[in-house]
Amino acid sequence: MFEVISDWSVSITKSLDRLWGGEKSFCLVGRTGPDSELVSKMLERLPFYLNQGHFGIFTSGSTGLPKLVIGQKIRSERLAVALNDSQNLQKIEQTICLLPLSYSFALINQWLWSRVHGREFIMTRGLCDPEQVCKALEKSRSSMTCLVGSQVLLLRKYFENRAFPKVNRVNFAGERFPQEQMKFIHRLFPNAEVFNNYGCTEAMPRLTLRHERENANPANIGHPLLNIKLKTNNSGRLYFSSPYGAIGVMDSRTLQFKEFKDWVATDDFAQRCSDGSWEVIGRTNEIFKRFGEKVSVHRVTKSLTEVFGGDITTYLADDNNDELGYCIIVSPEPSEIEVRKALKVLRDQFSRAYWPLRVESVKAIPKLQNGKVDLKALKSHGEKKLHWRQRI
Amino acid sequence: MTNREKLQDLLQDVLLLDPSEFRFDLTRDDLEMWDSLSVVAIAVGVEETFGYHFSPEQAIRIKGVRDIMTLLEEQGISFAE
Repeated sequence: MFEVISDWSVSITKSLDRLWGGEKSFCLVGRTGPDSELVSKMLERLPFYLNQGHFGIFTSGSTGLPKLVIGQKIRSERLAVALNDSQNLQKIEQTICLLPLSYSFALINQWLWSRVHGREFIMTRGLCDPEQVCKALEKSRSSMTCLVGSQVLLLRKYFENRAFPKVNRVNFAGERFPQEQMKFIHRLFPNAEVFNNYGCTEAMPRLTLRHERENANPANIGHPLLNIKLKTNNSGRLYFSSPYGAIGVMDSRTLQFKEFKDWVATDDFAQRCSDGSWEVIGRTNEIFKRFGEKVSVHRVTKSLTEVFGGDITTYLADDNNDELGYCIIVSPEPSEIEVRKALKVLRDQFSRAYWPLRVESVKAIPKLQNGKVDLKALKSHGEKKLHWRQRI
Repeated sequence: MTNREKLQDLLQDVLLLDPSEFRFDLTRDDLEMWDSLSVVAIAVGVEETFGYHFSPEQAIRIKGVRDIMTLLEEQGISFAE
């Protein structure tokens, strides 16, 4: 019933054009998504009535657990219109895609937006082919592109002394907004307005929008888009209600349907700011109790980012007493002085409950195709170098 | 590596001390982070490094670096310079 298309297929945009316009439902599988056997098994469990103007995105997410998020074409088309209005995209003629289309951010913000508004969609192989990206950006006319924060490092590497003045809108999503890189981003895209987009695949995918100049705090995600509501529960977990969101989510065991009026949990903790905008204060898998104290891993990594300079990430792990803790992984390998500085920051700013179980490094932090950290690969990485560890 | 150096390394590691901050006459009162969890961490570290397991009573009596050295010396572990 659902036709399966791979996001690395050369004819993906042709397939999308055919399937979006037709009655048949389809699903997209990313390069790092589940294998074809699992995809078939999961699709067999879908009820027949979902074969009417629906589409699905298979994601393994950063947890490595396969999940099928089911959207409705008409809902997503409405979101493409809402995005167009909220970002004043009327004058944008093209969108240049540097992300895989199994990533809902690229699929909706770019491919679908271009389809709904009759603009040109230019697919690239992303930053694994910088020359192609460079040509596409240079040749573009009044264009828009969507990026994830981790691509900035590569943009800097490949295009440090270049500028792409024809790019007029740059959207970031999926990861921490690279606020501290704005100087470089504006040099690279001198005529672009830059936005922080917040959402998740279940929101299919956008919830809020912030113009980069509206707030200096990278964790500020701005205001909800038209008709989207946000709230937090008592522990601060962020929920959304969206008329554009996914209508169902299936994992290997269950299929859950979502109604428009339903409040859907995100994986983040957040708080509402006095001006009505929202600030993400951590991931739900980054906040936990240790030695009776509520620990926010985000707070620690924020303090250590300046010390280590390169990439820094964390993963959860149990200590010797089976109590939950977390490990810090940095890349490239830090010097002994950097490690000492980091330990001093931990000692001066945080109680022991906040200290990581280990400080480790790897040559390169494994990433998923969408630029997010591959936590599954990170946990089982065979070449971690230990720099410090807790004894308990 | 001498036993003094091993103990210094261990305590710097457990208490996140810079080498310049370490002294053999440091006490719990000198360091805010030397809390009850640190005592447990020190005990685990001593067992890993010197092969001796502090009893809970001994662990409670530890008030400073000298106390650790005294307890270990009673087990025949020398800290002579």
